[in-house]
This record gives sequence, structure tokens and C-alpha cells, in this order.
Amino acid sequence: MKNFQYGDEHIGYKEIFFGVSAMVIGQGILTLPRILTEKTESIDGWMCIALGGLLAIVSAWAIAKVSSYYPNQPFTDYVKVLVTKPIGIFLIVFFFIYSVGFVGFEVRALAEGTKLYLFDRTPVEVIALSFFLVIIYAVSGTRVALLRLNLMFTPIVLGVTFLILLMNLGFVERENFQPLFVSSWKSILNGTKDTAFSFLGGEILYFYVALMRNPKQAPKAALLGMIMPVLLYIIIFLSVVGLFGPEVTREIMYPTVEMAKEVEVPGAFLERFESLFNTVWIMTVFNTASMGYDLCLILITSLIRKGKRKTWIILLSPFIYLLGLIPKNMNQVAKALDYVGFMGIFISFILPFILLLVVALRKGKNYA
Amino acid sequence: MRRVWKIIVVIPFFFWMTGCWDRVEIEERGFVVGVAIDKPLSAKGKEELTKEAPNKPQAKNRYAVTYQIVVPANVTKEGVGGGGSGGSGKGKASMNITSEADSIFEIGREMSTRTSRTPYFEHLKVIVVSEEVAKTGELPTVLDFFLRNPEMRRGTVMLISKGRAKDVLEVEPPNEKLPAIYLQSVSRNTFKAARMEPIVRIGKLQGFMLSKQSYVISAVSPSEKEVKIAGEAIFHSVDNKMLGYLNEEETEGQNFLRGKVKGGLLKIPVKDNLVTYEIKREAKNIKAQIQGKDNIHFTIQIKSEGNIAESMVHLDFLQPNRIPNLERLVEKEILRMTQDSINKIQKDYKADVIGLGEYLENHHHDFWLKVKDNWDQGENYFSKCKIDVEADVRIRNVGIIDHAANQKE
Repeated sequence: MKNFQYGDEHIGYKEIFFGVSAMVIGQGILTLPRILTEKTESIDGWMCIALGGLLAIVSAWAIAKVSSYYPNQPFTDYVKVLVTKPIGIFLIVFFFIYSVGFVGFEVRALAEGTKLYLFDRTPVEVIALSFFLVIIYAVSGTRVALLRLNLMFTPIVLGVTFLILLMNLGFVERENFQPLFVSSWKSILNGTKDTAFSFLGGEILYFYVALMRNPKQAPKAALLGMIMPVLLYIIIFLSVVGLFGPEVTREIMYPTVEMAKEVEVPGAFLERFESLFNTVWIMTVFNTASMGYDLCLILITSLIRKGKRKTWIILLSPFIYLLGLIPKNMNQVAKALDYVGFMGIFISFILPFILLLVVALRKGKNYA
Repeated sequence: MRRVWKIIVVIPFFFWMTGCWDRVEIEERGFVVGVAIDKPLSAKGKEELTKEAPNKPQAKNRYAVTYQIVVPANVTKEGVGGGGSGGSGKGKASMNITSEADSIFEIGREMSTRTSRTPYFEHLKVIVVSEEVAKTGELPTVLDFFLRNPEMRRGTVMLISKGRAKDVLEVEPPNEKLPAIYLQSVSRNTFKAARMEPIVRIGKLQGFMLSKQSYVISAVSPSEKEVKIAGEAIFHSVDNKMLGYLNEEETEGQNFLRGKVKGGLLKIPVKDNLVTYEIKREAKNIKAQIQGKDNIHFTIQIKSEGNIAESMVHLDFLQPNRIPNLERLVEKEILRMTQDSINKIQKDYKADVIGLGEYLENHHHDFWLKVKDNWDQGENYFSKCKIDVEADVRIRNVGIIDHAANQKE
């Protein structure tokens, strides 16, 4: 007898699946082909994505697994039980710093990118502010609404991306796919390290699994949700390098956007196809950043239990916005995102296994 | 009181909700469709500048750059013939503006001080560089602006002009309104003529420059009403200097060697007259036998399919040996042509534009790393290697006249 099904504060399998995908697909996709061709020879970078992706898939599964042991409890609750209160609080603070940095620099990076391609004369500060205001508006609503937005945006993003890939197929040159397997193992591992930054995003599972009606489904949803971006990144990487060749990919700031610019619609009546790509790209970053901001709020309200969600939004927003404006240029933004990324790597790829181990040990004790 | 507060909070929003900051109305945009880059005609500009501002930083070279801007009002107007040249020609669909400076970007900006429209490069179709500029090896410097600017597309067509590049943009094609669009269309007709180099897009050009390969760019020679794209300019990998031209024959041979022929024809001598073979398909396959750096033996196998398009001799094409014999003759013609261009490319220019280095890189990677730095420079192993060509031609169709005059035979 549920007439108004979506009115409740619970989510299902689909929300987790698309949530993870939307969180992972983001800024990284624009520069990843360049970074990988810098580090590896020829077209071998796809192996880095595959390796990094595998790590991300396993970690996402682990996070969901740990969280599903504690139904309806978010990370902020169960971590204190799991690893004692002081360590738990330290982890929450660490996590909070990470997500604040993540949102701030993500907003800045988006502003820089759109300025380059779309808003030549608009100051970065203004682009960042208007984008950030929309994010603030999004997080002011309910958390579940935020997750359901992913269901709407992600298919559009995937659709447009595949359309662009399809239309570029004619320009892909076979010569660029050779030679294969010429990079050293060292450089492959080195590149894998960089893909790890692009696959951050599984951390949302620490919190959103608690909202699930049936948390047992979480590990599978997380697994599949992570496989999607991994496959997408591999396909995009192969087409970008197939299109430009490794030498050119190395030199382009945002190779993926350039790929979108390459599209020539037959008949030449639609020339600026990349505007579509820019739109969906802003949508993905919006999803990513708003979920990131939501994490900040969950974490801070769990630390300091006073104040409403709205109050915290008003208090945090100026701080996050100004933080994003600190880097002086594009290179510094990338560097800042790297530093934040290192924290993220701990949270997303190392912490879940530690927690899983602790869970296993505790269980052993209980049942012994 | 609450209401007052709400209003006070809302008011600041109006200041940035005024609309798009970067808005430029479409009728204010100057759509640049073609660019021509020349050397300045005289050194006067430089002298004046040195007099005016002696300490102003100057680049090594100065360029005279011509921008072709669309005049939208005249594009749709009926009964107005021809594209345009000159500054103010009435009724023309485009206008050319030439300016001189040492920075290409500066010239673009200077343009907005001379016309009412701000230059807008998203629809740039063609860049023409004069051979004078190309021969100095300044191509990468010149193109840097066009590759760096986010407004540009990597699909822009690149051409080298015999003579001044500006003249190419000044042609007045009778059937097209915009000379730049005309140039773009002409350069796309490669499927009709094997002697035309497949169009070079600046994105691809950047690839050649970065991967240190020698490359070719279509050459265009202007006349008053039309241009002719035939032959190509050959550039060396090391310094990006233009070495010279390949003529139409050699271009065709080079296209065959690269497997890039999309169409066109071959004339083969039969008896004392000609039979024309129409190329429908062409592909190449390279094999290499490596016995040391100085002893590399390449075999390039060329496969082609096509039709008999025209016969000036009366032949019975249904005779059992006729087609195989003709096939052998076409093969011979392909071998002759490719051999000519190999001679020119390998012995005269010593620049690998056949893609043999690329083949080694892809298929004999370890060996390539050893010869890479001396491939078509230094020791120049490329000029020392042996290149054999094999051809395999299939004639699929002979047309509708079979027995034209078999009684004569």
C-alpha cells in the first residue's frame, strides 16, 4: 500500500549503483589520457586503467561489505565501535578534511576548465561561485533526492559520451594502436598510481549504504557501479589515443574535450558538438561535488552534534569556496587535487581492508 | 521584519544574475574561415617599429597574416556572385584583412581594432602557409597559436601555397561564395584524384611534428578564378623545413606507397593508345627483413581493385586472357610510378614520408629504438635501405561495352 514510494528516506540497489558511478566519473576523465601517455609508451596506458580499476572495484566491494555489517548505521557511528572512539574520531576528522578539500578544488577545477572552453571573459571566481551556489542548493534538500538525481544524470552522461565516441570512430587510426606491450612494468605501475586518483569515489558507500532498505545488496551494487566507470575510462582512453596518437595526447591539456571537438557531424550543419560534451561534463562534476559536500555535512554534524544542517551549510560554504580559490593556476589546482587524492587513496583503497580485517577479528572473538 | 531581511538577502543576487558575461551577439562576431600566413613584403614594418619603440621585445620573425572573415549579410543574398577579396568590395560574402606583426595572436587582436567584428575562430576551415615561410622551418612556431587556442579545431585543413598565400584566399571561385570553403571542398576531393595528398589536418600535423616524422602537406597554386591542389610539399622531421615539392606523379606514387589512395585513375598504354583504369580500392602491406642497421630490406605489397573506365583502343574484354594481361600492365604502371617517387624521396630528399619508420616502430620496436635517432637524419639509414614494391591488381568490371569492335582484331 505504498502510493508515494519515493517519499521515504530509503534507497535501493539502483541508487547505490548509479551513485558510485556518478561519484567516480568526474574531473579525472578529462586529463587521464594525457597523464597515462606521459607515463607509459604507446597505447599501453589501458593496462594502468585496468589495474587501477581492479583495485577500485575490490575496494568498493570491501567498503560496501563493511558497511553492510552495520545496517542503518553510517560510518560515523560504526567506526567508533569498530576501532575504538579516539581512533574513530581521528578518522572522521581526517575524512572531513579530505572531503572539504575535495569539494573546494573540484569546484575550482571545473571553473578553470569551463573558463578555458566556454567563458573567456568571466572571472574564475564568478564561475566557481555560481557553480558552487547550485551545489549548495542541491545539498540543502534531502540526501535521498541527491542520490536520485544521479539516476537522472548518469544515463544522459553515458549516452552523450558514447555518441561522441561513436562519431569519432571514423577518425581513429589503426597505426596508433601499435606497438603493444612495450612499456616497462615499472612505468605501468607508476601510471596505475595515477589512475587511482581518477577512481576515487567509493567512499560515499561508507555513508549511503546505511540508507539502504536492504543493505545485503550493497556489495554487488557497489561492484557493478565501479565496473561501469572502469570500462568507460578504458574505452575513452583507447579512443583518445587511437585518435590523436600517444605523442599528441601527451601535449593536450584536456585530451577528452579535444576529442569531443574533433566530431564532425556529416553535412557540417552542427559544428560545435563539444558544447554538448561540456554540458554533460558539468553535470557529472555537479553530481560528484554535491555528494562530496553532503559527506562533509554528515561528518561535521557527527562530530559536533549541535546545529542544523542548514546552519552548517552556511558556515562551511564560504570556507570551502575560499579554499578552492587558493591555488594560483591550473597546475597548482592539479597539485592540490593530488594532495587531497592521497588522503582519498587511504580512505577508499586502504581503510576498507583494515576495517574488514577488524570486522573479521571481532567476529572471530564473538563466536569463539 | 523577516520580509525585509529576505529582500535584503535577495537583492545582491541581481548583480550576478544579469546574464551571460561572455555574451557576444552573433551579428557581432567576425567568423574567420581562412587564414593565410606570409612573410612581409618589405622590412619596412620592422624598421618603423624599431624607430618607434626601440626597446619593445621583438620576435625573430615577422609575418603578414591575412584573415578571411565572413560577411553574413552577403552570404545569403541571391544573385551576388563570387567570394571576395580586398577590404571593402561591395556585395562580397567575405573580406580579407591583412596585418603585419611578429605575433600571430597580436595580429588577430589587432584585427578587432580595424573591423567592427571581433574575430571568432571556431569555424576556421583552412590555413594556408606560403612556401617562403615553410622553407625557413618556422611552421611549428606559426602553428603554435592555432593549436594552443581553445577556440581552434584540430580538423582545420592545412595547405602550402606556391607563391604568396594571400593570393590563395583571394581567388574568386564562380560556384562558391567563400574562398575558404571552396578550398576546403577542393581538398576533400581526394577520392577523385590519386595525385592529391589526403587532406592534412593541423591536429595530424602536430602528431607528425611531435613524433619526429617527416611529412607532406598538399601544395596549392592560385590563379584568379580557381586554385589547383596538386603535388605536395615535403618536410623534414628534424627541423620542419620544407625540402621541396613532389610533383603530381610522385605524389601519386607516394600515396600508393602509404596505402592512402581513395580513388583516381591510372592510364596504361595498350598498343599505341590508352586504357584508363579507375582505382576503386587500394591497400598496402609492408614486410621487412632486417640484417643489420645498414641492411634493411623492405617489401611493400600494394593491392588495388578497380574498373576499366575508358578505352581508346578497341578491345574484346571478354577474351579469357584480356583482363589478366591488362592487370599486369596496370601493375607495371604502379611499379613505375612508385619507383619514381621512391627514388625522389629516398635518394634526393632523404626524408621518410612513406611511413617505413612508423612500421619499424610498430612491428620491430626493439630494432627501431636502435636506429631511431639516425633514421632519416644523421647516418640516415632510411636512405640506405632497400625498398621493393610488389603490386597486385584486380580488375573487377569492364563497363558495359564488351565487343566494341572485336572484328578489328
